[in-house]
Amino acid sequence: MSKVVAITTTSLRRFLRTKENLFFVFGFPILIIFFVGIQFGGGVAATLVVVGDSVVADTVVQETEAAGMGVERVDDRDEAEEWVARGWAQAAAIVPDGDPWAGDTVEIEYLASGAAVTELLGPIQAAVASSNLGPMVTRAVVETTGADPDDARASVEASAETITRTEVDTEVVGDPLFEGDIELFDIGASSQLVLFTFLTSLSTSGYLILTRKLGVARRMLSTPTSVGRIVAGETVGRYAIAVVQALFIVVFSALIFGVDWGDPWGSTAVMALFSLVATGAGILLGSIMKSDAAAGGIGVMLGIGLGALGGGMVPYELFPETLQQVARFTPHLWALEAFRVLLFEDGTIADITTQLAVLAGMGVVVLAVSVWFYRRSIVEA
Amino acid sequence: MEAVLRCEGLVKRFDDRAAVDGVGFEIAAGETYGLLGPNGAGKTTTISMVCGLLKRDEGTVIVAGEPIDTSSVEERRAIGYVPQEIALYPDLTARENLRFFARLYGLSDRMDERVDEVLDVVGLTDRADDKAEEYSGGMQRRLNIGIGMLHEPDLLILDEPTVGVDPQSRNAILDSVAALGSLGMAVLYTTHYMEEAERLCDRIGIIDEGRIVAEGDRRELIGLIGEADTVTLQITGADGCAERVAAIEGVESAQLEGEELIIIAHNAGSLLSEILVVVRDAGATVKGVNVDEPDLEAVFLHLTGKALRD
Ligand SMILES: Nc1ncnc2c1ncn2[C@@H]1O[C@H](COP(=O)(O)OP(=O)(O)O)[C@@H](O)[C@H]1O
Ligand SMILES: [Mg+2]
Repeated sequence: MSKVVAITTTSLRRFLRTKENLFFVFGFPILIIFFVGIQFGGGVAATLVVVGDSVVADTVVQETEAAGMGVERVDDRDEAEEWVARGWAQAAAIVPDGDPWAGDTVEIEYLASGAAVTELLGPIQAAVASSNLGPMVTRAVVETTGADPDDARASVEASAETITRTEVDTEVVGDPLFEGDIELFDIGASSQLVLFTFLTSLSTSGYLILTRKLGVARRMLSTPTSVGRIVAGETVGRYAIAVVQALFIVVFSALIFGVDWGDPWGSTAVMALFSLVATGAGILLGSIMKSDAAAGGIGVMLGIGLGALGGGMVPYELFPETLQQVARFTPHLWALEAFRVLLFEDGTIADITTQLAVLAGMGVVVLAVSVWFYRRSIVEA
Repeated sequence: MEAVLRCEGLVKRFDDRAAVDGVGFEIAAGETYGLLGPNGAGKTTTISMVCGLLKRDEGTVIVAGEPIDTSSVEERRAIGYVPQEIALYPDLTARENLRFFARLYGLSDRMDERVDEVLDVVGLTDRADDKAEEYSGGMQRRLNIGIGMLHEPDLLILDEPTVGVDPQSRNAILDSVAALGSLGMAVLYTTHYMEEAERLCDRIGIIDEGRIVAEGDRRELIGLIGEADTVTLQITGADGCAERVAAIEGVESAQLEGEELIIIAHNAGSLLSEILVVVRDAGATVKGVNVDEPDLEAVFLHLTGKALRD
């Protein structure tokens, strides 16, 4: 046991002794969370997603654009909720399909989160109230009287002044859809967590390769220390780094940026299991690669690539179908999905059992494979 | 006395080519055994099998009474292995490196004491808390050796421990290795420098192309070639003395070349005084004497038909 501890503490000591490592483990993720946070929360224009196929929906889009804010059209309410829940849009306007008749009541559902609630409501109200409702009246005239559309438009425009202005009532109904407002920094904090934990684990592969290249691994084997203990020592050390980094990101972002990580049991479980997969991946890379420099480059590529594929940068729902299928093989996707449930749906550990099971399965498989390769890499034939 | 290391019939093939082909030897406690051979002779491969780091194709290894193979764990406690390469963490200090390996060797209670002792033996006490990467090559080599003797093993194996070391460090290393045998350790020392083997080793195995081609102490090995010593006398007024010298029992030949009388003789050391008497009686004046014994280099040349160093 004390030999495992010796190997673990030595690999930790070596890792933490390098200032660059300290920066990448602790400083960099916080910087990124901070910058992503202020980008989404502040300077950049808020974005509205609009659902609905009607002249009213068109008008809302036009008015929002005219107000200098971002606007995207999406297919249905679920998709719109997803956008808002993930923070890719701050509000959604759900407009009924089909153009209304004059005199009809049009109920526009408005879903918003955080700071954007009032900001984006303005254009919608403006849209509904605007004189652009003229076309609706025109259509009503055409369909009830059979008049020539051009004539109808001309006469509607001529009498525009006399058309009764649309009345707008705004009413807040129902419970807030997104439990606990999505704060500035919530967006992206979980993405950075999985991205960096994985990247750091992959980056430790270089130490493993160096240990082997220097002949230290072989020398360890020449002492009365079994291969199993060496493997255990190296694994535990790496796992500790991954968990400590994840914990640090959680605690620091919660204390300083006010990020709410939801059910602590749930987020701890996600971190613990995701770190397991990350650790295995790092050891695997360090066991199959011969050059530490090459492993470093591949580590960064893999870390960022898998992170992006797993939805750490763009929601994976926006990927083409086949890519979405591929993304399901990344641990990132399952961890982010679990965090989404915990953070934005106020879920508990009980609501993420599927994700946890998948992560645990991935962790066991990747770790087993990596240990096999690592063992093979240090024991001569 | 029971041998600390006994290995027999060791064979290792890489792709059907035997890198080690039937090597066997024994080392007793307190004895320093040298494996002398050129690069590629199979020294490291032999050692790797002795340490149980490499699977052998044939043969047996017994260290301190216990058989050793790649699955041995506790049995390795009897062995201290100093690899050919500097196998330590460059980003850790000497003390940290020593403590790390001390724990792997299972030295828990005596650890700090032993670490200090070893630092002293390898002369790194002053630099103990500097990172190894800041050391000179010689200091790194010394630390490399220090790690292997931390746990006072029955058998210390040193694989070319002086390669790439400045002469001063090299001397320091050789001195400390010479001291190990007197501590009762069995030492297995590989080298391709014949001076090191001559200076340190009680017995030497000459290894080439995976086979031990000769074994014995220095005298025995040199005796193998049957080549006599060469005695060179710088003399004046030596007319006719060559014949007289050649008549001395044990002298093979004596030839005058200018001012030099070159004498080939077996066991020249013991004949030297007699030779000098004969030369003086012949009326010559001796200005200088040179006795060149044949060395292991010559033995190697004799046995393998090639030079030890390339
Ligand atoms: N892992 C290996 N695979 C193939 N050939 C090897 C391997 N290790 C050593 N050899 C070969 O075995 C021979 C002996 O090598 P080695 O034991 O390292 O010699 P030495 O230590 O005496 O210089 C050399 O020809 C070397 O190329
Ligand atoms: Mg060698």
